[in-house]
Amino acid sequence: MAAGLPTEGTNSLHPRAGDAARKDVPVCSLTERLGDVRERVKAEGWDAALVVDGERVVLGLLRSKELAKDPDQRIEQVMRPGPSTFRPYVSLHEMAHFMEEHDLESSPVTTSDGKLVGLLYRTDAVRLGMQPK
Amino acid sequence: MIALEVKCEKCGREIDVCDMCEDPACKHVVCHGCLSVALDERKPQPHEHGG
Repeated sequence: MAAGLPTEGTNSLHPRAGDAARKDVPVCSLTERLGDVRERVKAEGWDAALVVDGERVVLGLLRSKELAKDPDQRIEQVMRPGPSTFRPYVSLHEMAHFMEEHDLESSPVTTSDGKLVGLLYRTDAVRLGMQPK
Repeated sequence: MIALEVKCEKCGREIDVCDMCEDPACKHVVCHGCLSVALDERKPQPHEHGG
């Protein structure tokens, strides 16, 4: 579960953060130019990107606010470093509740060793995690 | 950046910033420990040292 792999059994019927996290979120490295990353992110239809190292360990987060900064700056100068991340097995219901309470549009989901699983959007968390049982 | 001391809404522990949203103006501040318990990542400890 911690690695974001599929699960089985009755408890697996409860949706988890890893199930709803979007795995195709754009990624970039620390040394890239913000303008280049922003172009790529917009072209792919996203409003956020994750900054990762060579092993896909999450180093930072770029939301709309960070993507709107000076395009000539490097990613490491503009990113939100060390963002709060959540494990794939976390209950989607609880995540939806906390994301609404804290007005968070998205949250990175990582394995326990920090590797990117995907980006969880609040809309997805609410849609899938708040369904009537 | 100036670290603002805020208190966890659940346990009252003083922390720098809300562990969920990292927003200095958060109105529902939660510390890492309480958030982990709330998200069922770990069980509550009877004492701070865990013993």
